Parts: sequence; structure tokens; C-alpha cells
Amino acid sequence: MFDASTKTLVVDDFKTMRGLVKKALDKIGIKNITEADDGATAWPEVQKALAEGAPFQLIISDWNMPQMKGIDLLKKVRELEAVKNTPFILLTAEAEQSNIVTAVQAGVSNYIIKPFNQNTFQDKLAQAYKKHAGAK
Amino acid sequence: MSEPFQKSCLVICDVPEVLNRIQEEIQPLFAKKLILANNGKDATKKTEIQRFDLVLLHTKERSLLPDQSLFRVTQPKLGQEQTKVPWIILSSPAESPDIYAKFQGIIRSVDEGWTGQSLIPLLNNLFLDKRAASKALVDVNFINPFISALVEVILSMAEVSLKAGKPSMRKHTDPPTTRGDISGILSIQSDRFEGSIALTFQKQLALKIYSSMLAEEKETIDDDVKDCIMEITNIFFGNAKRELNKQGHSIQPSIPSVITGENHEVRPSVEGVVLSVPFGSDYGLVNFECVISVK
Repeated sequence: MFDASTKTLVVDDFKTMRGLVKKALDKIGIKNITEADDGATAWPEVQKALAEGAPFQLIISDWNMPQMKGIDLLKKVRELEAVKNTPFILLTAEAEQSNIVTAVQAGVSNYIIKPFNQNTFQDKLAQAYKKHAGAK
Repeated sequence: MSEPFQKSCLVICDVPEVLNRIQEEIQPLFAKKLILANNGKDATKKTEIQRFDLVLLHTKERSLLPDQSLFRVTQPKLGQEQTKVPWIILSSPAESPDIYAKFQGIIRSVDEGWTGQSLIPLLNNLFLDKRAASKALVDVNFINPFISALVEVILSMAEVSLKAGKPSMRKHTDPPTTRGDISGILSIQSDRFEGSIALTFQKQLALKIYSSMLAEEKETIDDDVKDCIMEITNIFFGNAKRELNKQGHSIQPSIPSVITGENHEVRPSVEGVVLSVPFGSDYGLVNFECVISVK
């Protein structure tokens, strides 16, 4: 499972939601967290971490953001060979069937529907971890 | 459901299972019995002895399409607005996009997954004037997803129980019934209507929501509290939208904004009907308002 050393990127245009995700991560011991307020600012962080030889091991991103949506960030991550297997979780308040299909087709590891509780959050992370551990 | 339509409707359908569905789903929407025809010849005969307010069609018969004979029978003085009889095609327009474009405003189509409920906004648009159609749209099926979403989101994210008061409706020109200190606002857009939504919180409730969510006390409404209320509005809208779109609406995503000011009121963004629902809690009030105008 993910642990304290898991390098994590949290992307959301709302500081509140980034705070909630950080709080939920903290409860399971994950403290190595970088924040970004949009897909457009997250993507350079992904590239920078890769260039430094320490890529993110988990990305949790909101779907609906003004400049670059979470689904577009996911597609960019999946296209980059060195990070394409990084567990990537999308947060969404909408969860309409068509959106879920689009996310699955783009290679999402799991999705979390807002509002969420700690148990749901942990379950979704565990499922994403298993999925990628199995793929290795 | 609103009052059944006092309109006469011709149904042309040559698929028995679809005909059953029409009788189950659409007949209850009309006070008068639907007149059924199973082919073009039968339908033409019926139009010779009776005037219809609407034609519903589900058939593979090309001769019934709008550039053919039956359509011309139902449009005796095409070009004069008052004589046009609207047609609803109960299937996708993919096969004949040129015809749909040519007869825009007279002929409409709905997806194969239509239900009686999903047709109501379209029928309101056809048969009611703009204000009556806006009012008819805001029925219990439209209101309930908003009430459920707000109660669930606030309870789940802030552990605050809300109790919904009595919904009310007013004209956009009437003065607002409630005031507050911070409001999350969103535009609401679908292919049939437009408008806006506002969640207006009293200060103590907004601060309580923030402190419950982030485990940090605040005494004033600052940027962090504004961000929190915007995100609450965002999640509330996303949850309500999901349920409304299951009913056949096609509400688009929207990015929220926030306004603050002691004891402010939010003015409706469009001319139409304003739906208002107050919610009480141990920490103060929040008021939901939605103004809708059919296009």
C-alpha cells in the first residue's frame, strides 16, 4: 500500500478540497505532498519531478478545473512513457456515466465522487494501488 | 405532475412495443385520448377529419418524413405561424439531418431513451407561454435533487444537519425573501433553459462549515472561507446535476463564484421564475435559490 514516503501530487482549483485531500492522506500516513491549483500548473510539476529523478508515485486530481481539466492531465501523464503507470485518481462531483467511461478509456486508476468520507477515500486508494501493483 | 395537456395528439407508430410505451408513458400527459395510426394512409385519413395540435412519430416509413405528403397535410398553410402543427420524432435525427434543419421549429426529435417525464419540458415549450413553461419546469421532480444534494453534501462534508423549509416561487421582479452574508453562485444552462443558482449562507453557518471541514476556527469570512463555500456550491451543483440529467435534462458543467457582504441579497440573473428553499440548522440558515427561464 502507499506509505509515508509516497510522493503525491494533489491537484484542485479549490484550496479547500486540496486541504481535505491532504487531511485524508495524512490520516493514512502520506505526508510527501505537492499541491497544484490546476492541470496547467500540475503538468510542469510532473515533468520537473521526473527530471529530478523522483517522479510522483500517486496523483489525485479534480476533474473540472478552469485551464486544464483533470482528464486532460491524465491523458498527458498516460502518454509519457516514464510516468504512464503512475496511479492516477480523479475527483469529481458529477460522476455521470459518460464521464466515467471517458475516464476509464483514458486510463484512470480510480475515481472518487465528492463528497467522500475517509473510508471511501482509503478504499479507492487501495484499489488503485492493487491495480498498478498487479500491472507491474 | 402538472395538469394534463388539453391537446389532441396524433401518434403514428408501426412498432408494437414502442406503441405500448407511448400509451404507458405519454397518454397520461394528455387529457384527451391519443389518436393512433399505424401507417401513413391511416394517418392521412385521420388528418382529413380532425385537426391535431401535435404529431408524434416513430416509424421507418420514409413517406411520413417532413418533405413528404403527410407532413404537408398537417401543415396546410406552411409559413403562417399560427397554423403550424409541431411534430416530435421519437428517435434520433441522424438519418435525415437536412430535413431537420429545413423544418427547424416545427419538427423536433428526442433520443430513443425518452420517457413521459423527459418529454414534459419539451411539451411545455410547445404548448405553454414562456413564463408558464418556466413555472411548469420547476416542479417537485426538479426541486428534489437540489434539496437532497444540499442536505447530503453539508452533512457529509461538514457534519451539519440541515432541515429544509417550505419551497416557494416568486417572479424575478419580486423582492428576495431571504438575505445572508456569503453566497456561492453558479449559472445553470441546458438546451431548454438558462438561469442561475445561489446558495446564501448566514455567517455563523459558513464559519461552522469551514471549521468542520478543515479543522481550523475562523471568526471572519476571509478568502479561505470563500474558497470553501465555492467548493461546497460546486459539489452541491454536481450532485444535483447528476440526478437532473438522469431525468432527461442536459445541464452543462459550470464554475462557481462567490459574493460576500453583510446581509446581502442575490438578484436573479434572468427574467423568469425564482424558486426558493430555506434550510435551517443549529448554526444558522442557508437559502437555495434558482431562477430559470426557458429558451
